Amino acid sequence: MTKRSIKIQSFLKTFYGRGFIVYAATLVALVFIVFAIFAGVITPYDPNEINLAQSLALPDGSHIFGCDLHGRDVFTRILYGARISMLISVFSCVVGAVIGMVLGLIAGYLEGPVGTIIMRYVDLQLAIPPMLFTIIIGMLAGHNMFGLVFALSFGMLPGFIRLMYGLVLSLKHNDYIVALRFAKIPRWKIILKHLLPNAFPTMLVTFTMNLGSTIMLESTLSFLGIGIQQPTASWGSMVSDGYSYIFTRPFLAFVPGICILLLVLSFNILGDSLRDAIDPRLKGKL
Amino acid sequence: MEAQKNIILSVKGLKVHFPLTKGITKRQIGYVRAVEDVTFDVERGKTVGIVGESGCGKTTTGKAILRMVNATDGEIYLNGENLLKMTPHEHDKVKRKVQMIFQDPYGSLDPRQKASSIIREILVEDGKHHTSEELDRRTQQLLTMVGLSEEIGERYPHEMSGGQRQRVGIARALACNPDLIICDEPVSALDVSIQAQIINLLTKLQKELGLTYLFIAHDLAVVRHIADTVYVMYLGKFVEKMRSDEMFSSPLHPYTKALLSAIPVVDYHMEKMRKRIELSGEVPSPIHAPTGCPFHPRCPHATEICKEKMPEMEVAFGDHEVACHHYKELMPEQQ
Repeated sequence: MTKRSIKIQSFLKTFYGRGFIVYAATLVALVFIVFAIFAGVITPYDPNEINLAQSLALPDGSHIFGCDLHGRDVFTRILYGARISMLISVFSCVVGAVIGMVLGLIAGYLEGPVGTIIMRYVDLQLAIPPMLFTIIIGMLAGHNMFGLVFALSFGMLPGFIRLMYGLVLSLKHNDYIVALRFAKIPRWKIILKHLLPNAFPTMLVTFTMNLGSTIMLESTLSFLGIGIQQPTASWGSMVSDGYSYIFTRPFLAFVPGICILLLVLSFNILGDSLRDAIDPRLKGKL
Repeated sequence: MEAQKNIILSVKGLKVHFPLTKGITKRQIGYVRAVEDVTFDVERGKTVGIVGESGCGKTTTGKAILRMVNATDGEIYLNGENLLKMTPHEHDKVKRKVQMIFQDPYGSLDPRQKASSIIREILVEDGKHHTSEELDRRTQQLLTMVGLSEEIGERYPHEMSGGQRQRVGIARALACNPDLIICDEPVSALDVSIQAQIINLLTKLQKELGLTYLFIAHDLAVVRHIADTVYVMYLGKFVEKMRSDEMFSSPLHPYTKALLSAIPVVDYHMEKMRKRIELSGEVPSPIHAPTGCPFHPRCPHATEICKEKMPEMEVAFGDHEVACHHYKELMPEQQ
């Protein structure tokens, strides 16, 4: 019990080793998560109800970020949009990363014909412009959240596969893996206990970087009419709607834009800290 | 025969050729003859050293015994069983009998694993230790054997010194209870003072546990210290076999002599006086190995016959074997 609490303590010490910025990132992420969960409690308005009397209203006491073209409260839509944006980006990154890791692992560990097939497929997908590819998959998968998640995660597969493939190729020729093979340690144990943990930190950083770009990509797809449909609020679509009024009503684009910025930034910082905290070489340091 | 029983590893006519391919059709355009017709025996409880410069095939020989590379031809007997004839499944059963100590002590340990857990993991697999206490005890025993304290067992590789890491590597090899340990340049990455410690540790363990080593190195002084028999390798072939104490006193092959004369002497006057044999040119490529004696292009004593005929290993005296056409004429020069 004490051993565990010491472990947790040293984990937290490294996690928050960078100081203030990590606390801020935790706070931002927590606030957005609370927003997403309790959106209905926090705000009295309906995110989709059109009220043309309030069209493009300036910020005041009742609408702190003003209203959009259809008179919908921007703050309310930010709260509900947090739900969609976070769900979609986290979901599709998790799906893409897990499938990509598994395929990259198989290709890198087995090499041979199986590996060649997987890697040639990756080349094939990379030969198609990624945006075009995601649009096609999105259209085929249907105009709902799952279709969008599917299209987004499919689109980011090659990156994860390639990264994992390279990592596994370089790791598996390390002397310590070779030594385990001499000692007749079963393959699955080598993979689970040695290959994956050593590949994980690099994958984690890529994962958090992908989170940010996925939010942006989702907004592009929404703008093009694939995936999230009007009037459902997502931060990406709010930016693209609002940017027509960038000079007269700058808050329409800036507020969701800043939200994206903050969320992506805090995800990246938390990802980096997590990577440091699970690295035994940095145990209790920084 | 009694002597036959003691042979733990017997390598006969081992050849390892790597095919050279070109283009997308993988057309074969030749071979790299990494190991060419190598034969030797390793007796139980003894140490056989293989020396030679880099690229001569020392490590490839070791890898072939571990079946990390495929042997092109030849036989490798471990306790009388031909390793190269075994199916992967059969090989699995005897795998743990041959272990390896690696050159790079840092790269050979998982950076995310504590020393004790590295050894424990190997122990779990043999199925002999059932309870957690048994495993802990045996792990501790192994660590003590290689001179590491309990406290160091709780450290990660980056928290240890090079010598400590190499000790963990040795303990890991011992955890399998091996018949044969292949030491692939185990001390070349370490400090001179640490080198001596590790060599002494290996010697001590050999005495206590009756271990058998195949010791691959380029440092002649280290090999003399630990090995009973030394083979000198050049371009994939053995050129000389001798007792390790004879290596410095009576080398016969011109290549061995050149290797020995390259060792610097500390004493200033001795250094000025001693005769150095300087070899010209580079080691020929194992793709286009020279005809006849592989050493003839660089040998100061080479004659016509060396270019044409490949010398066989022949007994010079006692256990001393040499593959050279002219060793008899060159012998008096030694005195």
